[in-house]
Order: sequence, then structure tokens, then C-alpha cells
Amino acid sequence: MASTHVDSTSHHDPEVYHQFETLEQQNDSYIVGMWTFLVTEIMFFGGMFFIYIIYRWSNQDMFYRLHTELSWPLGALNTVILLLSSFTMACAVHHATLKNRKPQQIFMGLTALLASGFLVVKLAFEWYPKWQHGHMPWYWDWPGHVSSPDLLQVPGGTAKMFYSLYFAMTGLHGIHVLIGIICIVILMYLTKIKSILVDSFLPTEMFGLYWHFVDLVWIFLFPLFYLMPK
Amino acid sequence: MSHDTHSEEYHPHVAPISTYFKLLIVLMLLMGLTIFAYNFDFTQMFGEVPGTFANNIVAMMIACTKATLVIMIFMGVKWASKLVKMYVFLGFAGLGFFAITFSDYGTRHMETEPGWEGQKQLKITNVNAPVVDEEAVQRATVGDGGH
Repeated sequence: MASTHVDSTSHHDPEVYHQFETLEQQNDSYIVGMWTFLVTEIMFFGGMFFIYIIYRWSNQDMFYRLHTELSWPLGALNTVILLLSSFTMACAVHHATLKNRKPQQIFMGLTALLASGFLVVKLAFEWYPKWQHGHMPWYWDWPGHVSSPDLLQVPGGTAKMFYSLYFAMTGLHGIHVLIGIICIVILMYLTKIKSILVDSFLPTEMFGLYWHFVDLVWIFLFPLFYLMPK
Repeated sequence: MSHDTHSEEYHPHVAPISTYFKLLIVLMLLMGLTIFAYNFDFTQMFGEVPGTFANNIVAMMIACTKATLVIMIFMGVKWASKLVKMYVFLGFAGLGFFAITFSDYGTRHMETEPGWEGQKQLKITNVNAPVVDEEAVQRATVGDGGH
């Protein structure tokens, strides 16, 4: 019995922490832990989506008029950027699993670049003109500059509600993108200095899950804000 | 020794890049389809309200398809353990439970007291609505008679 015990410890994989039986169990624990976090994020964004549904339900006609102020081609451009970044992140995870450090770094860099592109489109081409037109929830000058006479019939309160929802939801999503960029830059640095923290592919895999989740939220935000039916 | 089978090599699932690339193309096409459906006016076919509803249903169905594909393939849930699958399922099911709170909106018109939406939206059809307290009226009348 004693010899068996010694035998099992000497064969213990150095990558496996002592509280785990196998590497598979250890990796699964990481993934479940990450998903636990993502479930809280689902609840977080879910609450926002439900607020949106309630106000859209009762103000469909006015929300439709207001949504014409948003540019769907820019929304579509951002969708393309995020889908591409999800693809590059999936490739980064693929190479991280195979321990191909160079391509992993390149794909992570591409993901960070695309994420920055997303924020540039969002802030410079979408948010900034709204600020210029006075269409911000805290600086209210409705109707101010509007693109169509239809919008003149929209009550100020409804417009404020629409823009509050728009800025809260895309803003919360934008903060997630920003956090994503910070995390990926840290991951790239750790990979570059060959830190033992990123010896396993798990940190990259976990970040990948986060990044795909950010993409997931945008998949719903895009049709809900930019593609509202009449 | 039985330990040899225990320490069998563990290989995490690695999906080929081509799978991810195919998914990217499918997601792009689905995005195009959403924009096409947005410009397609269902109100001509079904009328004002059902048309808007149809447009929304189509848009959300496409979004849900895209989301499922991203979760299954990009996030690797398709190849994950049963425990992870259960977690993912429960996460979204929890969101479904949130939706039950919407039932409140279906019963607001039955309220006997006006809510924050204001009195004009109330349609009081409650048979249990407060009725005149006959006894109190009688007592008051008797009292008046005494004086």
C-alpha cells in the first residue's frame, strides 16, 4: 500500500495542482469557474435587455422614429469587426492549446487591434456626433439637430429614455470591450516574457470565453438598436 | 500496474482553424440576412402590429441562431464536458426565469389601486372592489337621528 502511494505521487503531473486528480479535472474547473462568471454577466446584461423590452414594448412607434438617428451601416461595420475579432481570438486559443507561441501572439494582437477599431467607430463616429447634437442623457437639447421631421413629434421624455437605454447598454458593452483590450495586452505581455502564469493554454482559453461573450452581447444589441422594424 | 491507465495522456479538444473560418462566413451571412430582413417590410403582408411583431421575431430568431453557433463552436461548448454544458444551459435558463416577472405587466389593469402608470390606464373590473360600508352608514344615520 505504502509503495503504491509513493508511486502515485512520483507520477504526479507537475502541471496538476495538488487538489486535483487529473489535468482534465483541473482544466474543467477553470472552464466551469469562467462560465460561472459569465452566467453573472448574462444576468447583468439580461436585466438591461429586460428594461429595454419594457420600454420598447410601450413606445414602439417613437422608438422606431428615434432609431433612424442611429446609423445601421456603422452598426453593421462594428458587427463585422467584432465577428472578425471573435474569429482571431478563436485562432489564438487554437494556437495556445498547441503551444505555438508566435501565431498565438499574432492572433491576440489582431484581436486587440480589431477591438480598438470597434471602440474608435463607436466613440468617434457614433457617440461623438450624438454629443455634438446634444442628444446625451445628461445634456438634453431635444429635438436639437434631427435628421428627419418625423422626430419632431417625439416627446422629449421618450427620446431621453431611448438615448439613456442606448448609452447605458452600448456603454456597458463598450466598457467590456475596453476591459477585454486591457486583459489581452496583459496576456500578450505575459506570453512574451514566457511567464509560468500562461504556460498552460487555460488563461487564453478563459479570456477567449470572455471575448466571445462580448461578441454575443453585440449580436443582440445590433438588431435591437440599429435594425428596429416599423 | 493500474496506475498506467490512470495517468493516460489527456488531450484537450482542438478544433481546426477551418471550422472557425467556416463559422465566421456563416455568421457574416446571417448578419447580411438580418439586414435584409430589416429592410423587408412585413407590415405589407400581415398589417401594422403583426408585421412589426413578425419583423422582431425574425430578427431575434437570427440573433439566437448566431448566439447558439458562437456558444457551441467559438466557445467550444459542443466539445465541453457535461458539467460545463449544464452551467451554460442553466445560465440562460435563469434569464428565462427573469422573464416570468413580465407577467406583472399582464395583470396591472386588474389592480384596484392606481400604480405609477396613472389612473387613466386603469380599467377597474374587480368584483372585490371596496363597496360602501352599509353598517357604518347606518351607524352614522342612527347617530344623526339621536341629535
